Amino acid sequence: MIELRKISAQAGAFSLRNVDLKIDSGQCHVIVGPTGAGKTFLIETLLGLRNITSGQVLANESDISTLAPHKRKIAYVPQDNCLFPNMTVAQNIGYGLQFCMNGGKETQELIEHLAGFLKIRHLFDRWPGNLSGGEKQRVALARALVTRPSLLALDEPFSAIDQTMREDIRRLLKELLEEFKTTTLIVTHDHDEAFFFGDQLSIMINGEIIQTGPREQMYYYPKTAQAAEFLGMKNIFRARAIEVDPDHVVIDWYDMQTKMTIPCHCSQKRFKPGQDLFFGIRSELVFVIRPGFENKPGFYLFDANVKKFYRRGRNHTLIAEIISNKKLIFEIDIHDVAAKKLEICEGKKITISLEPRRVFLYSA
Amino acid sequence: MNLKSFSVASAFLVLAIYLALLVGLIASLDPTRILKIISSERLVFSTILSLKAAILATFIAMVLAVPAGYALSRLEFRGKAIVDTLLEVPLIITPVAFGAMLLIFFNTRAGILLQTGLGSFVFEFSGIVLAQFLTTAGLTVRMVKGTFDGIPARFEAVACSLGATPLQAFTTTTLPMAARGIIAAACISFAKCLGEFGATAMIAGAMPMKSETLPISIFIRLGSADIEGMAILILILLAVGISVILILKFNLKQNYD
Repeated sequence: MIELRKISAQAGAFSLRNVDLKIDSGQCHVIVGPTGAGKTFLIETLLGLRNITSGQVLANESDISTLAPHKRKIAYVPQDNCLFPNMTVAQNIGYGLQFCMNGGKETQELIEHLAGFLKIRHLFDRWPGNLSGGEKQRVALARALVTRPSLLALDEPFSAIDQTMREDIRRLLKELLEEFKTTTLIVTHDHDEAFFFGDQLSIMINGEIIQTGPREQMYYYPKTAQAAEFLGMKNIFRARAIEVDPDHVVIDWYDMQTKMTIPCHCSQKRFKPGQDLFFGIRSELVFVIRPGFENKPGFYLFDANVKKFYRRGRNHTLIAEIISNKKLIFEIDIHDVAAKKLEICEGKKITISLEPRRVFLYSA
Repeated sequence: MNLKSFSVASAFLVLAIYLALLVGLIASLDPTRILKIISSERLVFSTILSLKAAILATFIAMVLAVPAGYALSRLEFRGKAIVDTLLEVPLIITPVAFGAMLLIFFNTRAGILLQTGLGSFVFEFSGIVLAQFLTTAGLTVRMVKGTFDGIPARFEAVACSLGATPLQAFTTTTLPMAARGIIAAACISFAKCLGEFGATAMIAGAMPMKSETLPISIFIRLGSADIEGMAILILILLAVGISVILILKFNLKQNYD
């Protein structure tokens, strides 16, 4: 288990502030945050490349804060993989073995197993300069794992890989982590990637971790509007709590002069009557129905016009403007079949349906 | 005249000026005397002295430039900005002034003490090496630093994360990757040492068969109106210089494929 306790560190004007993080053995923890949030800085701090000003780094309960980087057993795979260009693929993979005592038959078996799993055996005599982005990534993973690290630290692991290869490599990495039960830390700006890999997720903004939790909890119950927005919540609006009971909050969506009763989710913060708040709903959870279609009980309906309609592949995105208040814009993901059925096109009048249990509340 | 033809014409104009100088130099030679001059004891002495001093000065410069360039490129330390600025000094003051500074230094207490411990530099072979080293070292450090700047520090970070100590990480990753740049820096430093005149003349003097490096020999022969001897020496310097450039251009390709 790797643990960061109240870690603070400084680099010029940027600082990490009181970062707490716990990565259980065999788990994958993903730190997700925008560019410049300090994700790479945090990995460098964990590796021992940056001095901490306060706090502790613990590996299996023992303090490694002052240990030199080469003694920490944290294998690092940076954004661009950094395969050594002066060594062949085989030499790259075997690089770490010359410094540790993991020689012998067992290691040879591990190399063979990794090479088979990652499908890189045929690349052993090649030079890194001739490999594709995906091949480089696979070799870098093998190079890191042969040293049997306490922690595998991956910095934006898919940013240098073509879109077409990315999904394959993602799945491969997922299977690899499950197969080898490697304790892993991934930092990324991509929330899809975070949900795909993370047993636990942390959101990092401006050098601080603003929320940590298991995947499901982070997906459905981000604590703040900022966290929700970063995790892909597109439709966030201002409102005010007017009645609160243990199970429900009645909110006044004053921009629409509408009151909505929203069920309280167990892990959510309690609100007080009169308190300003945000409510949000994911773009894939907003429904579009035909005007005049019979409403389900308890659902809230709003008429809107389709302002933009972005066709993608199977799912499209539409931007809808509420007719009674054109400042309110919804972003909605809609399946191709539904879009065709509803004859969605720009300028078309639609009705938006919000299901209260899909709406989440955040403090302002 | 469009931009393309103007640019190409400018390049050829520069080439034409250098070629005119070279043709003039070759035309001044009497073919029947070339062999005699080349095999003369004085020319052989000058060439060997120049090569010995330049090799030694380059070696010392490189031994210091690799760690110094690495420190300036990778590490943060107090006084880094001052060191970085002072390295430019040999590039902005003339070698003669540098030689004069050295002479003045050797007349101070510290200089006298240094010469008592290490032996005299003035009018000696060691003085030639020192002059060449001092006028070149700043440039050498700057070139090596430039090479390290071009190699991301992440390679060493990855190596350390795989168990290598900082020294092992440096010697197995950054150093081999920097080899081409380091050799290029050595070649250019060597060529600069070989052509060094001002500081050498101030420290070691211009004495035939003693401190007569190739540039000093050119100067002495000019004084005695030995135009052919001077021309041969210039051609030797040119040949060494062009060889260095050719080595850099064609023999240092670092293809990992």
